[in-house]
Amino acid sequence: VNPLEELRTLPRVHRVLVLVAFAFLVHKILVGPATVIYILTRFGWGYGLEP
Amino acid sequence: VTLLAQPTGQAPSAEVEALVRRGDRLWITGSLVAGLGILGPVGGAMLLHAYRLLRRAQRHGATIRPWAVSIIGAMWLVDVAENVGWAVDFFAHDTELAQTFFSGWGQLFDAAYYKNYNALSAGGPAAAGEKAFEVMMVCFLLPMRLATGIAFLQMKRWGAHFMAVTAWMYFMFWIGYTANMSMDFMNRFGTSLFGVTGWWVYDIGFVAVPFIVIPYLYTADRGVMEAGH
Repeated sequence: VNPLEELRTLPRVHRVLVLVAFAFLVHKILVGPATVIYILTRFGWGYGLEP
Repeated sequence: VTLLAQPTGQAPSAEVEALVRRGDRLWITGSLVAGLGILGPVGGAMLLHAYRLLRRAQRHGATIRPWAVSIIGAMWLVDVAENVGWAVDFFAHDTELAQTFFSGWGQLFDAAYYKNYNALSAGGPAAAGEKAFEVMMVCFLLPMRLATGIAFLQMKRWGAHFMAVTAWMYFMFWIGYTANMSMDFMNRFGTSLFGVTGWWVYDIGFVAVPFIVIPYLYTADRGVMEAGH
């Protein structure tokens, strides 16, 4: 069965947990690179270096 | 490990077995790469490719591990890999890389990583309690969670059980961490760009992990908790 079919067969609590887990999986994949790019574009490399 | 049974009663061909093993390895590696900061999209692409391999194996008759287990396990491993960033702060806070990104991150979310960074005896954030939680995570919880995440995805029984144990540890960790950081609220979040709301937007993905994994494991059927060996 594909993931969507499997999802439909799960008890409701598990369906919710797996969907939330998937949402956080995507959030986690995106938040790292987004922050790195934001820091580099806003502050630049070497920001915060001790004098 | 994930070839649990064949619906037709026939043994899967060696090619299909190899496909499952490749897909499995790639799923685990992709999950770990996906949590390594800028490499997130690379890990995401690896996960997509692993998904395709596992689906192809499934169409050729292999019974693979439930997708729910794959998604929960991937989320867990991405979270573990993201903590590697904290290990950089712990072991390499004097490097240009750490000072650039932690000071930048501190300016955006938590000023303990910005104001007086590297000023305390152990280096890193200028919040003593923060360092204690860093030791807890980087030296103990992170390696334990890494091992259990891989074992869980390999459907080993100890993986599921140890995941429950370490998820409870992670739950307690967050109770302590959030209480500790609140003690110095004005200094840490009153002066960061996105404040406490920004911190939650960034960190909700970490804090949520035990709240998803614990109820899942305690209500999962016996196939998840008692499969493998």
